[in-house]
Amino acid sequence: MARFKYSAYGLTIFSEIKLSPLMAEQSTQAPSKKKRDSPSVTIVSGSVPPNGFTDSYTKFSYCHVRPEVVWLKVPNVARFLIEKGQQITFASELGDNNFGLIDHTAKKFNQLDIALFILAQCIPYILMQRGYLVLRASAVAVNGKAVLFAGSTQSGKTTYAAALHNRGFDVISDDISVIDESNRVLPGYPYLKIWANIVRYLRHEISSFTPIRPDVEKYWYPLTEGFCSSPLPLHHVYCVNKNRTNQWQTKKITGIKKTDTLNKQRYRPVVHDTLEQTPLFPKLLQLATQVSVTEVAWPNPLSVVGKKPRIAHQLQYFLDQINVNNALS
Amino acid sequence: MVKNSDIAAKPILHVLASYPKSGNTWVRAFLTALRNVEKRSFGEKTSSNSTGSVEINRLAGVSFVDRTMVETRVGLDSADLSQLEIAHLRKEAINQFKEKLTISKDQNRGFLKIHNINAMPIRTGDAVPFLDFENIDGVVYIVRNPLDTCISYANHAGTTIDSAIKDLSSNEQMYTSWATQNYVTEQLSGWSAHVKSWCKNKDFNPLIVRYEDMSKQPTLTFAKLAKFLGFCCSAGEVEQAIQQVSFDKLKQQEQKLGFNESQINTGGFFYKGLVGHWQSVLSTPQFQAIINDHGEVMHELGYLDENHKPTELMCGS
Repeated sequence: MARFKYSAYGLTIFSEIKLSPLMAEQSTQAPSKKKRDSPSVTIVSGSVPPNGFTDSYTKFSYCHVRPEVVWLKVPNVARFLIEKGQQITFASELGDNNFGLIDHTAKKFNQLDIALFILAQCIPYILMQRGYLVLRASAVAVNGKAVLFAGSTQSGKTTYAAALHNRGFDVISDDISVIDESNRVLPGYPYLKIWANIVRYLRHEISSFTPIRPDVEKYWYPLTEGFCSSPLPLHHVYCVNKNRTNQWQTKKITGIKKTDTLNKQRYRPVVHDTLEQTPLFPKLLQLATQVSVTEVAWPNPLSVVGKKPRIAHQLQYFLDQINVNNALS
Repeated sequence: MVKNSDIAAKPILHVLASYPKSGNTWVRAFLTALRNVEKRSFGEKTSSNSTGSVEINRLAGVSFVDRTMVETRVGLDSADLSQLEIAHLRKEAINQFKEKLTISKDQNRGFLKIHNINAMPIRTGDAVPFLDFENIDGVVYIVRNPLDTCISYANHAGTTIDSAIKDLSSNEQMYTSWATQNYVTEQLSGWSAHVKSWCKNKDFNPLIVRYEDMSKQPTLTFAKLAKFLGFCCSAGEVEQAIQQVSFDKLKQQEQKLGFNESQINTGGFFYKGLVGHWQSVLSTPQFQAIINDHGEVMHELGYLDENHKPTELMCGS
């Protein structure tokens, strides 16, 4: 029974559990006949195989993939079945304590963890199952267009999104960016998850933020203002990498290499390729003709040179680029 | 030379454990060279360059400290996981790595470079070993006297020698890349605790290799290492491999091509490589601080005599 209803990434999400206090809840009354055709996802608790599938097409320790189903396990948190772009079933991995009693505090944290992993890791697979192009990127709105910061774990995507948000730019999505058939970036969740050092860089009091999980030094950063809730056409993709040297390198990608570079920014490409019914290459090729792509490699944005974090210079680079692009457009 | 794949039909995984800047990379370079010698004796192509040195950016051994590498193996995003959860994922990724070592063409042999103390992160209070040792076929522990280690460590971390001395004595010491944060944090702990955790473990019997022996008696030391790891090679072949990985050759290559394991803000990964460098660099208080912190373990390893005076072993020639 769906108790909660949300919107994100162009989906209508009906959930048995509360997903995030930072996401606006909508009325769970039955959708109108007109809206019944809009893409919807249902999240329910239920039975999920403890050890995945024996006949997976693609198999990793904690992720088994068939063309229409993904089995995912977050050890000691929960197992998930993500099916046909329509349903997520979860089963908690929380056991009873030694006396066979339920620890209510542990249960509460477990449910928060389950909600977090549904939003962060299951919804992207739902979107892949629906045929969207899912990129490992954060997106910021600049003059009615989307600018993406793409890169692997801890490459600085969220740092740049948070820093630009602090300078007055709207955030479209964090960590995962989804491109629809019209090459628009779909609005994600109205929050960022930022590390303690970014909170400090933004000169906020850490005590006023809630940690995303008890043992993780990462905090919910609500976008009560400065969240872009409408899809925006994709304009520029910055592929950010941390450099092992002090060198600062930027390279504008042109021609057919753009397709290859964009392809490398896909979220979990192996999973994507097992799920995908239609090849993504034509879509990437078409996208490459319409967007600018720049590779940027520089040292960790929060490392310090002199007494100033490097991000100050790096941010200035992006702002200069944005101004140049504005002048040209 | 007897081809190893003829002998070993199952995947073999050895751990190469050490405190940072103790010669782990030198050992990996030697093993790469030995593999090359082995391949050449069977007419296969190798990764050595035109100068006859091994390619330093293609060394044998993986460490699974790169989070992306761990994520790729286990199929799970680590972005919202705790350090302890990531450490467990790393353990699983290592098991997967062993499982997938192919069983032909000498690729069944894997090496795992580890700087972690032999324990799970202390801060979490988790007592579970960070490796599944039933999956490990042997442990080599490479150790270097802490007087020289701290000098090289200071250069590597871009810090002062006094700060390095503090790090070597801190049991809270963590180790991540100074260049990026895209790394699994390793719990280093202090130098003495690190040595004890690996060398006094009852679950396995490590081969302890001293950096000073690699430098002063290379043929004997590397031959013993090769034998322990199951290489069936002649003394001449060991000698050939040693020649390929001389400190000067590795350093020259780093200066020319760069080394993808070096850190930023440092004078290069391959620094001096000297035994007894401490004699001309450390002040008396710095020397005494290290002896006070690590004298007991240094004595056990033969670096200090019964009066806690430096032995010949750790002095330069």
